[in-house]
Amino acid sequence: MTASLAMILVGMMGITLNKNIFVKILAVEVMNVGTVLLYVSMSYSPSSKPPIFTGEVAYADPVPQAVIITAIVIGFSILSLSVSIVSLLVEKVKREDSDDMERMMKG
Amino acid sequence: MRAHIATLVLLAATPLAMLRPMRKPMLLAYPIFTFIVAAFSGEYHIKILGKFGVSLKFDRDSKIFMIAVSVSFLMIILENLEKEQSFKETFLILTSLLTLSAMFMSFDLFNIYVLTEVLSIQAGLMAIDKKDKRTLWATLKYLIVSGTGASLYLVGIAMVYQKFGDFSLSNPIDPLPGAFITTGLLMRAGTFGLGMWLPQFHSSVSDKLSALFSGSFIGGTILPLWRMEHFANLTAVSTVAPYLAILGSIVPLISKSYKRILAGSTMVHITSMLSIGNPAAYFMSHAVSKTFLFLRSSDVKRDEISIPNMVALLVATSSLSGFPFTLGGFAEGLFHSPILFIGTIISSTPLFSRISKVKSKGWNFSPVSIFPLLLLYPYFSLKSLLSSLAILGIFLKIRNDRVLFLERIEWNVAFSLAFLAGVILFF
Repeated sequence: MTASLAMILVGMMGITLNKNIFVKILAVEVMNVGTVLLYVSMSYSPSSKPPIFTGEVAYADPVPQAVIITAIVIGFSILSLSVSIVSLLVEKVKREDSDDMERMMKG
Repeated sequence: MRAHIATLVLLAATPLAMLRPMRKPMLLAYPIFTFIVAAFSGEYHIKILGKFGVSLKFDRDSKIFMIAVSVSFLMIILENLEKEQSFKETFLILTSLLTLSAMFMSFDLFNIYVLTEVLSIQAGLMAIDKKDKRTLWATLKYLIVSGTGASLYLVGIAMVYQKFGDFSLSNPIDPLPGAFITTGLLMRAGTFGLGMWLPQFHSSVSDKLSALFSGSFIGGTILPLWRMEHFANLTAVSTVAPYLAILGSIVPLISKSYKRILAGSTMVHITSMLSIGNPAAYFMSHAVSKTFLFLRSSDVKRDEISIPNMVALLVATSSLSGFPFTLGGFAEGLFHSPILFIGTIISSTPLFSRISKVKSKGWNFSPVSIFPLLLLYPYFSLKSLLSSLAILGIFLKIRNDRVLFLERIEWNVAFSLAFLAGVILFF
């Protein structure tokens, strides 16, 4: 759980502090992966078994793992769309720095 | 027919839009059918597939939100009906209407996440149709903010799941997960985050998308957040909303572009809707008037508009500003905090100032100009009268002094009148 929260924080830092637009997109994905890890770690306990029914034993909670699959798919589609837009944009403006882009859009 | 079944049937029929002759009839039929289903379906609350399945609640608020969105979509479709419709465009418009309808029925936290993400993808795909650099940059900012907001929202609902063992919206949400959920959803709605991306997004994308985004898509944030506030005791929303209304009202004051003024006032209205007891009437007024105002932005930019359109424009602006005898005035009667009145006054005055420069000429009539007349409503309250007098007072003072409002703001006059109105309303 600590690792997942650390990943979310690293992702947030990447989005706010890094100026490279590709790194920003990657930072969003790092944050997303941190969230996925949070869901997986939430359902885990050292004594629990994988949620495959083989008898009366303590299972890891399958619900967070099941729902987070949807989030992984959605995250991937948003990442693909963002990368396509960044590629088109970088090709047009020949810049990767977000501050430069912001200045160009205002000017 | 139950509303969710009707939505699924419509969703199953969307591939028919691949046939060119079907596109226009489908574009007209979907919002009309949604309107009829919303108006005549009975209220219900069901859980599909047991405890961890999907929870749906179709109540009075779902009905009003669905009606508002279907009217808003119909206005946009009628405005663009003459143009050739591509499959991609038709498919995205139809599915976004259905996504919003599903959102208004959803009653579990994870389902709301999925639908808001789907709506983000649809908005992103619609926006990049116009492939110039400004649009691409604005869409990218939107996707980054919405991706960040989605992660924060997921962290919030993970905490709720850990405590209650399910994602139901009726679980009381603690302040910490509440803060994550509220921040996540409000970032996506555009009230803050990454250089306040909403005004830039509106000024870069087409009028049609601005109308869709500001009139309808924000409903997808308002109703879930309001339901969380109402059913899950999420106090973070009502605490933070009035202050965000003031923050949002600064944007119209410093903006020169008509679309940016409208975008800024959207920020105020989102937060105002979240602060009142029931946002349904406010959302109806907002959806119809914002859609019309954005659809007429090319006329306003040209500083020339036909007389019927000007009448409709004034009715829409009056309702948005909460004038008496409008639906917006009725909704403003539900305001409790004087801060919200001040936010509305500050954000509405630049709008009147900009519209006053537009000349009316000719009698060209478009069917869309009938819709704002739906906003006339026989309701009068002292609160809305005082608020509208403050707006007109600031506006007339600026006009009489011949000061160009958008270039040199008389801050002292604007704020003192707004403050005065707020104090009067408070007592």
